[in-house]
Amino acid sequence: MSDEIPFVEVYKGVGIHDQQPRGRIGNVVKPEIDRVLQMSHHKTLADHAADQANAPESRLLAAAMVGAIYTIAVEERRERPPIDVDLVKATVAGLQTRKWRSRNFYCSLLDTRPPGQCRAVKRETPLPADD
Amino acid sequence: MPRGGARPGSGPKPGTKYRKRARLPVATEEGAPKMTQAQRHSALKRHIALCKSAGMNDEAIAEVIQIPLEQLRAAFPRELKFGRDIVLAEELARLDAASASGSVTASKAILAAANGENPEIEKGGKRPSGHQATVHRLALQSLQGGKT
Repeated sequence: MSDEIPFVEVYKGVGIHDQQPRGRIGNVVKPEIDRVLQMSHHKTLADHAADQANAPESRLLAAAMVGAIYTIAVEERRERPPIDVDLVKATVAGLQTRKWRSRNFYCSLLDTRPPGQCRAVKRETPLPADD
Repeated sequence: MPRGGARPGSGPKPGTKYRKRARLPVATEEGAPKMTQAQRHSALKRHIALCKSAGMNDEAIAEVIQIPLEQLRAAFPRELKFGRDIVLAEELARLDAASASGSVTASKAILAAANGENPEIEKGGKRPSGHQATVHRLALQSLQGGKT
């Protein structure tokens, strides 16, 4: 079995992760994806990708868009945006894999959480231990 | 002092054929032709259209060209309303002339403008829809490829 989180559907090209209620998908995940698709500035996208409170799908999309902006700047020989693409990718590390998916929150186990400042949204139902 | 005759130092200086009348320095640049009123007005309209296409508001433009705001709005309503489009049309005409004389870059720019991809002419730092579509396409490709 692949370590990637399975998709229950694809919304505007972005896979929606399983193990979450339909209500959250419709009310939270899809609107966040729409909001990210409207963003164009690399800093805004990077901040969205780094924020644990956002849905993993939208964070992954935001990080991918930062990488795309950088790639396009390189290919078109324009000034590269002043942003560390590797750091942005690091902020969304583990969000796509079952191994690092948090059982209790909609984030990754690799997301850094300062004490008392966990911004991630708590899961309505924790994931089973063998997932 | 000797009587009569030419005084020493008088007459045309060596190297000059004729006496040259002294001329006062002119305010305009040497050799630059003076503009007619119509040309000055046309240049001013172009200036206002450029300022408008760059996103300046009416008040700032009036301040820059030093006329009252009401006078600006009364005299140049077309430039204030369609400044961006006027500049775009003029630049397209210039590109067309360059393209006709063989410039491939100009031809590409015209084709890009026809396809809605015109990164040089956008106001407020907003990226054109073509660029955003490319960003989305690349981002979704990388997501689906699992490269994030």
